[in-house]
Amino acid sequence: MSKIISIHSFRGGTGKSNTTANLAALLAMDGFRVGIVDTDIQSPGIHVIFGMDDSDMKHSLNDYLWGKCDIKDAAHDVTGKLGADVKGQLFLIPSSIKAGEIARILREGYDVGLLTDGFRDLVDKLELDYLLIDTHPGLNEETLLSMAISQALIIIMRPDSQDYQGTAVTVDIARKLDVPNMLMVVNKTPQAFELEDVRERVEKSFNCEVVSVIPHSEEMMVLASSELFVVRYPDDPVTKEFRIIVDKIKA
Amino acid sequence: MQFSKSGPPKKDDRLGNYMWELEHRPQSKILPSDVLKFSDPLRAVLNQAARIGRISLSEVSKLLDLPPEQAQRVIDLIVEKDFLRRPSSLGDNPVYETRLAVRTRKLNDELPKEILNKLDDL
Ligand SMILES: Nc1ncnc2c1ncn2[C@@H]1O[C@H](COP(=O)(O)OP(=O)(O)OP(=O)(O)O)[C@@H](O)[C@H]1O
Ligand SMILES: [Mg+2]
Repeated sequence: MSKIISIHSFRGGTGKSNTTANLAALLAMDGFRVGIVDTDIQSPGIHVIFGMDDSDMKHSLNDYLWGKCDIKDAAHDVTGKLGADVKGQLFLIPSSIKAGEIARILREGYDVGLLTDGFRDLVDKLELDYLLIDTHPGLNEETLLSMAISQALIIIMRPDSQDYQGTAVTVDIARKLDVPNMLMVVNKTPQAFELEDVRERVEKSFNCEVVSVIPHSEEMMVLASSELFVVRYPDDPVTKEFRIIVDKIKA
Repeated sequence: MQFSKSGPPKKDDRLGNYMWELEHRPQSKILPSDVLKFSDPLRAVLNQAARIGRISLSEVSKLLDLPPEQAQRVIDLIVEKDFLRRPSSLGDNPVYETRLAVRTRKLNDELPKEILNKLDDL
């Protein structure tokens, strides 16, 4: 059975998009058929990591939500953009970055149910093993919906007091939605912190297992979302952490 | 069925309580965020339907611990609330698909109108 996995954080800038892109790349390199949907319609960004801009988007998620195209037509095969040996295949369904189209969706809203139908359709038509959903930070109807239909939820937080509070709300909601698999990830951990201490504190706070504590990485900052980290730095400790998460997803 | 006038049903009236809860959702349609407000095991029914995409009469009957005739009444009300879709043919154990196709409520962090208008002009 294919797995729908949402990547979420209560606060912005925790590393959702970069984590999503890198996990998806690792899964595709392992031979799986993987899809990524950018549901961050208000502030899309993950397409950048795959070197895409507006002119590369034949269709976007927005077109699908407006009934202009089938969701499959908004799927872009980005396998070739990975710059690595990929046994599987990777598709990206980007959100529009046209200002007018973002404005329209914010103003008019859209049929959230179409998202669920669309995700299921994608999994079927592209014969996906995994569908990763990159979300807008915080909680709204679509993030709740993506949690509600996911078999696994990756919650990303930084070891920051504001993140602790907000993440508690997310964890609570995920439990209420009976999400079968909750994978907690701590990202951007300062070098000065003891990784194991952070893990322990987070596990205690939320009473759930922490899959990975990712250090803050200067290399990641310098890459600045212009490339896939795991391809550029296959032996970096951050890549090793991404691998641990991938193993958890596959389990 | 209307329970609103008579107030909440007695604690041991399981069917009555499920129906009462469903009747008293603030919105006419059930959205994902509404699911959070339901108590278990009604919430478990809605969660399972949303995650798997469908749910059968026997599954609802088991989750709610109700005989099929009563589970059917709960399902009918959920269909009325647009969360489940009535199947085209009803067999012994009909399967209902989820139907989440409803317009979103306003997004949380909506931009002010003036900014939206400016973006439109770009
Ligand atoms: N472990 C890390 N170490 C250092 N920088 C990181 C790390 N992870 C992500 N970043 C950087 O943090 C920034 C934000 O990352 P990203 O866009 O993936 O976050 P996001 O959660 O998707 O943000 P948003 O909430 O705005 O969608 C990027 O510049 C990225 O390179
Ligand atoms: Mg992002």
